[in-house]
Amino acid sequence: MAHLRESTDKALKLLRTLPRVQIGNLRPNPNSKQNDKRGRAQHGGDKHGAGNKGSGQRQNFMRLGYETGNQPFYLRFPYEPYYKGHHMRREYPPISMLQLQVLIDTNRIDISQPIDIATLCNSGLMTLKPAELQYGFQLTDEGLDNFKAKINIEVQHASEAVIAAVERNGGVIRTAYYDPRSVHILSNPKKWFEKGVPIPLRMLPPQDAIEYYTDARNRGYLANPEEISKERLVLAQKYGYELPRIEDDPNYEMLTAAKDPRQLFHGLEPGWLINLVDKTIVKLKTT
Amino acid sequence: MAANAKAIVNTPLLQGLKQLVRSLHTDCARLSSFRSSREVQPLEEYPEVEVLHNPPEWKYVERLLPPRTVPQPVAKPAYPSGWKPQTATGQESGYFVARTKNHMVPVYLNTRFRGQRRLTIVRLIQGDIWALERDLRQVVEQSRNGKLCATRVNELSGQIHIHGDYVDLLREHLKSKGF
Repeated sequence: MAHLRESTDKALKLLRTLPRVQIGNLRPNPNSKQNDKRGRAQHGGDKHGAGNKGSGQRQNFMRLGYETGNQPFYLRFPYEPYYKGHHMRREYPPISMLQLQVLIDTNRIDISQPIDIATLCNSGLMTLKPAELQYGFQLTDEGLDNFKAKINIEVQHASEAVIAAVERNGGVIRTAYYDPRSVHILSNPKKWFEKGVPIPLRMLPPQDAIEYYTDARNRGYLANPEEISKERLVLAQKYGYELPRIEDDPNYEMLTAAKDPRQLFHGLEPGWLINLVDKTIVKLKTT
Repeated sequence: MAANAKAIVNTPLLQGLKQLVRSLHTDCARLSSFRSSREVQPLEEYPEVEVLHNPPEWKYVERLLPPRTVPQPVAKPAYPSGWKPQTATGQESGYFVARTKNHMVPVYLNTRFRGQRRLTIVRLIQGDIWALERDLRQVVEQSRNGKLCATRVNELSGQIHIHGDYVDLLREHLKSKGF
């Protein structure tokens, strides 16, 4: 054992005189680097993994999916266009009723005012990306039994059960279309006001969305208001709750507040210019 | 000579000609850059505007400005969503689990290896972290019918990692203890 201890002592002694391990005196592990030169003939030349004869040796890589004369797999079956037009489809990121109730409970949104895209985005917990074809929010039915707030909300898509849950509490729900530019403005109104550009007109919905937004059953913003009040009653009877009369509500003004179909912000008209620094509004002079 | 040329360039006639040429061309005036944007017209061409100081509509603008900080929750008789305000101070238990900046209970799920490993992570722990670890492990083992549960305590960063998905269980437990 003495000779072992001797060599250990030697190694330790050597180690004490050596410099510390640092980036300047490190080198790669042996055989960790591969030589990028391919030797020919007596300089290590062989098949180099390419095999003997044929397309393998010539490294004639066939195109992807080609099966050397068979009908390729990707052409063997009839075409089913699941994703046809996917780059054009409108996306409505979901917000559940539970999430909305949490926002209300934690004081992140003010239900004494109408709720729209700007309210939800200004809470700082939700974002919209109009460049990724997100056209607004849809309200989903998760946690709808625990939803207890009386709100005036405007979303872009809502199911029948969600509409019933909002109206059961004496609230108002409306589905409305916003074009991508309007969504961009509403997703961060402060930043947009700082540009100093007049408020633009909101565009009307595209042809394939008109049917949805003119239907009173979806509480579309282009539907006939009388039909909407009739459908409210129909839905109350279908789901078995008594429809609270919003006419007698002290918050009648707030609950019935609605934007014009061409209007972007509540109370602000297209063409006005908002100056946040001087706190002024520039309007067209009416004669 | 140069000044003379500049004067010719800036004549209204030439400007009008430019606009005419642009309108005759098929490509529209793209307003994306300074070079292609619409030229400034004489002031008479623009509609008259009025600048309103302190207009009554300013309240609608203020409504659109986001709050600068996360608002404090207000006390309410009931919270239907299941969220509760923090009531415990940690005096009697010896440990304290702080709420996040969004007033939520800091219990998270960490999934690794394509969902094969699930870790429940409790964050923002102050005080006696080992006592909290004993409490949480008891709760988890009770839900597992007495089977053991693996935990890891990081005293420095104030975190407890628990093997398995017990996020809902521990969140409800911490809320029931007032954290």
